[in-house]
Amino acid sequence: MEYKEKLEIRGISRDELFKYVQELGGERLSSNSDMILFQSDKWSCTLSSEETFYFMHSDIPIVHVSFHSSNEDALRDILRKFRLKTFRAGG
Amino acid sequence: MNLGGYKNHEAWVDLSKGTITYRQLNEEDLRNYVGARGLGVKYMVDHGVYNVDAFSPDNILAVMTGPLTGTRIHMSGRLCTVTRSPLTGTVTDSHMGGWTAARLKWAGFDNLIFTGKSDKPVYLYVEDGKAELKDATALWGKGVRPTVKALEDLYGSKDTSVMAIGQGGENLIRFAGWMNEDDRASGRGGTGAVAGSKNLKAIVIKGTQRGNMPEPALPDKYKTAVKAGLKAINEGALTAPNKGGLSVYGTNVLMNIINESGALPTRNSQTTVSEHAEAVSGETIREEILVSEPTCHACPVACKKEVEVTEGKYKVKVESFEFESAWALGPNCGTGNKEAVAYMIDRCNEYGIDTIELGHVFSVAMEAYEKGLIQERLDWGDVDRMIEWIDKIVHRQGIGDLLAEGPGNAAKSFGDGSLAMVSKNQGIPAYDPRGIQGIGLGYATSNRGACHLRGYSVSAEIAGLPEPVDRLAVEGKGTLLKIFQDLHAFSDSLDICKFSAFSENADLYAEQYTAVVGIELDADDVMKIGERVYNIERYFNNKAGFVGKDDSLPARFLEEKAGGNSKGEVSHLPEMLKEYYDVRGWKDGIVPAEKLKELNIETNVGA
Ligand code: SF4
Repeated sequence: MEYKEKLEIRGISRDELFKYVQELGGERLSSNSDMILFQSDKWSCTLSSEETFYFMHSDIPIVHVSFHSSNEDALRDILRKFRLKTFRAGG
Repeated sequence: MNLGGYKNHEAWVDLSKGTITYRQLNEEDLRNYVGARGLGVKYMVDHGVYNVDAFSPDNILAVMTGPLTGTRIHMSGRLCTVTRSPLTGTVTDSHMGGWTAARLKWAGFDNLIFTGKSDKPVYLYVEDGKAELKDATALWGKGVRPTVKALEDLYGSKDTSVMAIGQGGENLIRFAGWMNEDDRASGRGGTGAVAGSKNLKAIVIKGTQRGNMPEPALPDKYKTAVKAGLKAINEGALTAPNKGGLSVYGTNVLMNIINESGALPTRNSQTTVSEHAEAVSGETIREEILVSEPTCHACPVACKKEVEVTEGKYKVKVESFEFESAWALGPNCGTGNKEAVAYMIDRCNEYGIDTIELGHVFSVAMEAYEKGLIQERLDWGDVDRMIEWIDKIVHRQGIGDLLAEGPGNAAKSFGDGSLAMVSKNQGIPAYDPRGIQGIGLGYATSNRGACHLRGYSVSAEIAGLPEPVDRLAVEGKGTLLKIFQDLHAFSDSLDICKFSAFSENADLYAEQYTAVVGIELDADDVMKIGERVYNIERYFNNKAGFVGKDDSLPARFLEEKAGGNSKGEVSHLPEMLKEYYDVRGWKDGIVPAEKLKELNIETNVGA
């Protein structure tokens, strides 16, 4: 069985998200203009291309990120770590 | 102590005896609580001031910086005042920007802690690691600007910062704050009134950056950390200088957005959409009355928006046309008169009182008059009478004396406590809990009374940052809010500007802390320390008698339906609260002993 989670991350560039996935142990397997695929021993991840939406007079990047794993705990663990990196608290 | 960033030097000023004792910082406390907000509440717990009257000489008033304050780390020019609040009875901490905080570090101090009560007005002069109490009799009765000017004339304005209270603090207005550099406020919770109760008028700080910047423990990592922080801010969608919405329009970029969401508390939260929002919005202000965009120490964002009204009876130049102030004195009181709002903000800064709480006492009085509960006439949008009443409040004349006690107490004196839109007796900020569910939970569970800055879930619920969250959903809000609250508790302890969190994550905070202090932290440690700070605050409040029933919202938000794009909504606080207590591990709002133990919170002191 495969477990997966799709996230919509706003306000963080694809380059930055690329760095996060690598820091968490993902290795880039392949890429094209639409998508980058990463693999680790416990999960895989794809980053979509970057779109922009305009809000609060700001260009806000949007990237869709998907994590897949055959192990539910591994998926939960990588999501927690990834979200800790993407979390922005504003103020 | 070998930690970087700190000066390892604080002054304990006994105002009753007129003595000053210098102390070094306790390394264990710094590891656990970092500084500023966290260390401040630790001192409050150590001294067991849970049940002292806020205006008693036994209350403590702590002026606290953090390890990053005064360094080259960006947006690090902040300090906070920590005390038992005369408005809420909880522990409170209220932060201010500008240059005072950095200068305090450069003058050789991390913190200044005041106890007791002076028998005559005094101010503290601080320079080169030494502090001295001086007679302030001639300053008593003066507003903030004349006080700052008199002290700058005496000591020279070069390398000098003055933080002062105005007549609001002197007259124990329960929502009086501290001001520095004229228009920067540590506004909430009445910390300026506590200074007034101690006869403490001002703090004068003389300190030059050259040769006095705190040394980082790890200079190589420091260079990288400074650059990484700057890169994040410069590239941040909202913070990018002269490009992002926060930099261009200031906090008031939110006015129209919140109004369009049907979540702008209007006319004392009787409705959630205002026809006056556009007139006082960041966009209008930028186009019509903006004159300059000041900043704080080491901040490229420059979110401050200085406005000037050049003619007419509201002629004024004032720096802080912030979203919260514009809302509280504008749509909340049924007006969109931006000139009059700017004028009132200026009066608040001169008297040293909180604009948000002032807006609340007005809107309570307006609704009370409308309902026939009081005879003193104050109509919605009557800005001239509002301006008149500011003087009455600050000088405690007539109805002003009741309003000076804050919106909760005033509403009770008018015979209907439910008119006050408060949680733990502090007025709500500019986001309606019916249209943004998570922020309502945040108001209710904030340890310092209703506040958006304890857990800014609006970021996710309105802007969708970093992941979109349905603002009207209930499930998941308890879990989400805890993360916001814990991260803010850490950044307030550093003490770094909250707006950095639009661009910086826990990794970056950890990297900057590690480089400056020399203790290796990661993002999980950051969240753990934040959680510890949040829990020790809650512990203080529990000892002061606050329990689950105090984590509440006014009945209006639970029973009366919102309008606009939140039409038909009410707050679902009880459901959210249950989830929140579960993720916090609290029992009915109380931190259990096992949680204190798990977080290594010492409670055998000052109990
Ligand atoms: S973002 Fe605004 S409040 Fe924060 S440090 Fe910069 S100028 Fe000061």
